[in-house]
Amino acid sequence: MENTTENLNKLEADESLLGKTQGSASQGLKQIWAVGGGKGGVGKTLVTANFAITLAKAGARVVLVDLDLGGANLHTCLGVEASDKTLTDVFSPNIKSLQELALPTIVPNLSLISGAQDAMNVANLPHAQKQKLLNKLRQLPADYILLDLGAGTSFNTLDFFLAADVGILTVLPEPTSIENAYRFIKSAFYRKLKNIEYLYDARSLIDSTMNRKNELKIKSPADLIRNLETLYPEVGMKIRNSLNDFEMKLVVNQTRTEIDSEVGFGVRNVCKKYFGFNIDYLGCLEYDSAVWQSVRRKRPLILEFPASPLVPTIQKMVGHIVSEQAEKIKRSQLGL
Amino acid sequence: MSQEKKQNYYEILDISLSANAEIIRTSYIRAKNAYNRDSLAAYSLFDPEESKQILEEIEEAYTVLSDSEKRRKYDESHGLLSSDSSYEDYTARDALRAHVAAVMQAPTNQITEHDEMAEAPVSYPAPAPSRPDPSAIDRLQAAQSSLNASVPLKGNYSLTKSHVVDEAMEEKIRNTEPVTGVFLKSIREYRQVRPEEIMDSLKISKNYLAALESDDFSKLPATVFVRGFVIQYTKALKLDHEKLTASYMQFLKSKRP
Repeated sequence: MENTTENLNKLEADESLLGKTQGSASQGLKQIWAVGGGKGGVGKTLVTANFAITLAKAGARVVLVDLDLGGANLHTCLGVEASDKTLTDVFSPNIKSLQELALPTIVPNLSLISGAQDAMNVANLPHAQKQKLLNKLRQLPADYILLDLGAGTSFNTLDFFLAADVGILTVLPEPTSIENAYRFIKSAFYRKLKNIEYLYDARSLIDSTMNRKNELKIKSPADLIRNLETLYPEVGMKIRNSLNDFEMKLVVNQTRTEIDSEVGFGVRNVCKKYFGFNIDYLGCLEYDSAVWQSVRRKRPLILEFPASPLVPTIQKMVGHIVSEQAEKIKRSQLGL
Repeated sequence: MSQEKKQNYYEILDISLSANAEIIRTSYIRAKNAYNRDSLAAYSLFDPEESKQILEEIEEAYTVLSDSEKRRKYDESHGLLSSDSSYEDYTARDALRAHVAAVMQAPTNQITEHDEMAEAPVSYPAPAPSRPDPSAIDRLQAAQSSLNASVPLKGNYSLTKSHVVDEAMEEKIRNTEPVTGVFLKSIREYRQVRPEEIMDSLKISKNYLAALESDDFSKLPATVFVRGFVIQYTKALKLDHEKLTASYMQFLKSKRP
């Protein structure tokens, strides 16, 4: 126990990774992509697994981390035997690095850290342990680390999402799913604000806005930022910069009509107006019966149905993020 | 709303300062779709009154930005495109941002002109010295090019093949008023484009296509969507899409006010 505390202290002395979205610049091209989306059954695992396989097949070294505790099934779908080595062991003194927990999969270049059958309640992970886990994730010898976050808006889910270089949100073109996604974004937004240092006065303003009743009639986060910029310019600027680094991608899953795929543009426009930040609509995954068949056969879509029209779509989405992130890293190195 | 600073017209339509007319129009339609009554995107964050106000702002923004003279004046009066040389650095940076934004604006599965921009190969200069692991960079660049190569460039998404030119039919296409769905279908058949190809290109369902081509207005979606279909439909057939769409929309309004 003493040993663990000592490790934690040492790690806390490190630069905080939480809420730091520019990590990639200082870490070479190593990137963490996190997939979330509020509601269960909207295709998070579909997206995570197939994005990971696409990257691995393209030659990148990829580690997939299953943080979807209740419904963790990535190990089955990637041909990994249920292992006694899971994420829980990251805090055990016997494990030196996360690499020891990464199990090879049927896909070359792709390994999996399983969260399956886990006693550890990630939803209640204390702050320090979370940082330790994030640090260890960054140290993995991989080019991409993909996190399957699972459903819900617990603080830990939000923190992993916010700490990632790229946060991918999946939704279905259905009212409940969109509502849940907004709840997720809203929670992430306020969580993000809490991680920014600001003046005491600004803090009470932010707190009072979270429950819609406030004297300034602030209705939306975008309103809040505008007010902060006026009342506390320094704080406002800090928040604005921090939100500009907030990379959120959107995938609309199971679309059947053009109207369904248009939902993504609607969400993008509404987010800009309501939250005041940009969300990048990656595109839609059309409804394809191959998806549930591959789920039933417990095999990833890309491996089971390589001819599915979704496969080139997924490749384009992944290619888009990879190119865009490379561009972003380049810009930050040029100091733009 | 207690807005100290309102969104500018570009922000309202969710476009970059360098957006061209086509992007402005597409974004206008999308913005309207986002806040209309049936929209999934807006109802849970904005109440009907707010949505109505936003729709008015969208109209206002489009009225100005779709008119190049009004747009120029608006840009000038809002300092959006500064000609002051002291802002040169700033403008260069904005141009880069605008470019990146334009690239990022094109979602993957949408067939629009943006695709060409989105897929334009971006070349990167040699890696900066601070990068720690050169083999990782090689691997990623290889990955990147392999990912980009695995997807064929869409380029022009027009579906028309070489077809026998029938002057009488061409004449009809030029002069027929009003343009009906049935007439659009006859053009499609004349241009030898199969329904599947249109469905695939426009990403619309068989039912909507059938409804459009048989003038079955009860089965067609909201007017703004139909407009979008018809624009894409006529473009895919390499027709004068503005003229034909305008004529079709008049026809639609007369039948389904």
